[in-house]
Amino acid sequence: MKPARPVKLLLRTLRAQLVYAGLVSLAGTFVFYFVLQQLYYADVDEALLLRREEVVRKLPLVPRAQDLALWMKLDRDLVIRPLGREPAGPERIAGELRYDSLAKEMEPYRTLTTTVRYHGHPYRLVLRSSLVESEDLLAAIGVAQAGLLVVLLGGLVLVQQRVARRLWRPFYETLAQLRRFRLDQRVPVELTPSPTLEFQELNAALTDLLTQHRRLYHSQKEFTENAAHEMQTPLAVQHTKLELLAQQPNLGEAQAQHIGALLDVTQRLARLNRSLLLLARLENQQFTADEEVDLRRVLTTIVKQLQEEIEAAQLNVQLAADHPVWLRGNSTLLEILVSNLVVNAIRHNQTGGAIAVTLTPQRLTVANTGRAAALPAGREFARFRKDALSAPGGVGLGLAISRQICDTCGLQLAYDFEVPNWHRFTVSWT
Amino acid sequence: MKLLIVEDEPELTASLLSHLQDQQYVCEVATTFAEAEEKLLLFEYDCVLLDLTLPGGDGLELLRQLQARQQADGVIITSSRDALDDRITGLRLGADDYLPKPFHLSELSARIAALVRRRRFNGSNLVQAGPLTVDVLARQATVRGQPLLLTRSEYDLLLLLLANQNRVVMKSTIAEHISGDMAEHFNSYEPVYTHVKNLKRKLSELGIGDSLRTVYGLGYRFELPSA
Repeated sequence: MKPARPVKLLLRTLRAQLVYAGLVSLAGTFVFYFVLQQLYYADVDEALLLRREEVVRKLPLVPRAQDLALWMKLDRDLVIRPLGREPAGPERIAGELRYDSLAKEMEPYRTLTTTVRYHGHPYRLVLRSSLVESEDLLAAIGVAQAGLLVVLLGGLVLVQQRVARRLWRPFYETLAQLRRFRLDQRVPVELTPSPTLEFQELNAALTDLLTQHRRLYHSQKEFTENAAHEMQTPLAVQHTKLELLAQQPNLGEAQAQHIGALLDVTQRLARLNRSLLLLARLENQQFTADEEVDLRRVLTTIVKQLQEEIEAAQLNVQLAADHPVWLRGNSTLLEILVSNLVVNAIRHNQTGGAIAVTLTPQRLTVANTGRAAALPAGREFARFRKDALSAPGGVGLGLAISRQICDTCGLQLAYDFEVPNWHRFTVSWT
Repeated sequence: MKLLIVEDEPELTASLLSHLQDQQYVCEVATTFAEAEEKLLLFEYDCVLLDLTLPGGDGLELLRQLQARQQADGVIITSSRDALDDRITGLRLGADDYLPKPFHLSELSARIAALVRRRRFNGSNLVQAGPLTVDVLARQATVRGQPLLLTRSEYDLLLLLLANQNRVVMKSTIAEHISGDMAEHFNSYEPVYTHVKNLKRKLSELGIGDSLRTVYGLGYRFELPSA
């Protein structure tokens, strides 16, 4: 299942509020209209009952049954006729739709039906009250009410939103500061103080966390540097002593060879130490990758620097980098990465072999001819990987460092092998 | 030529003294931050070799003091703190050069020689060795007035050898001097052999080929016949 797109906090509360406000407005309008209608009907019904009283009181004043017709003619909302065989039934009031001859359409009425006695005979009395005007009034009141409700709730929501936005402002400020935070920044982070308790606590917790991280980062960096110092100084002593030894007069050939071998080993140790420290520092994220680097420039410089080695190995280098390619990263690290890959392609090549370097806006590919077997799958970038076919003398950290640099700079590094003997390393970015 | 060595490791100091005094430099030593601070205040040196990790303080602080007095340009930082920001900070504070430990003594000599040339002669100068003259500014060499046409690498090699006359310069030093950090990736000394061979041939054509000698498998020595 695809995870839902994240929604802003304020939008979520706004949504909930709008749904609630909408429901209340809608339901409220209907309920209000209904209640109002009931009240009005009760009022009309009461008036009908009063009229019935009046009719009952006035009925004895009508001398003859024929005069009732005149009365009915004068009052359209009154019907009075002999009950005949109709069942008397109890008095009731009901709503009905009648054709109004004046308005020429069906109109709603409230109708009271009851039985009265006139000159000793049961008569059916029907009293009606038109609801035409009242319906219009009710509708008008309903609309006004609905409008009021919408304005009221909408206003509330807006006010709420403004307040919420102001309340949450410290949160967004803290967030922005966290985004800007870098472990290696020189000044400790200072979060904007907030009058809200929760944000105060959040800021305090974050400040603690960040301070602790910065301290940890610095102590790690210090350790790395101390380790470097502790190892490099004895190596420096050893190297200079050997150099001085080599300056001795009357140095025999055998002695000279021993000294030469010791110097080589010392130097290898120093390089190994440097490589390990670089790896450690990469893992400690002690580099920031926020420079714009032109990869083409790096590439051409390095290929030029390696020209002698390339010529010595009689390699045919094809360099395809037509346009500058700007990449966000750390210039030192990108230089090390490119040089590691190119050096790798030279060292593991065969005399008279070939190297193809291609730089496009999406990727850098370094391919070389070499031994006719792929690197062991899954262990291409392992440290100190050594097998029967490895080139002699290498430390075995070059590819591990390349991989680590790619991780640090947010790049992808991939290796593939193409029959018969092409080894290809691809650095890609998006 | 007066040098101050600021270094807390006694054996390394001993090596530096032995090597530099051999090359006729007058050397003084400071082993702590306070000692170095005092010496730098009281005396003037042509060149200061400055280690950054010192008992009692950070070498960069000394550099700041020197910069405040506009004397930082004589400083070569010799540090095992190869941290990138130290290197950048050091050079920004006006240090002339940065030589990470472990370094080669012959390389150090070459750097000191270059520094002294820059400071003493405002950058225009000639390096003289018998019949051989090198105009460092123009990057041109002549033997008895005859031009010696060298490639960039051969020229760099010649300057390195001249800074270490009568001493063995190791093959590995030459390799690093010529190809910088790239050298560490290649265990073959093939490029070194090629450059030395070519340089020797060109020197021979002008009659001083004998001055460049091979010292067993170790390296090479530039030595003018004492005549």
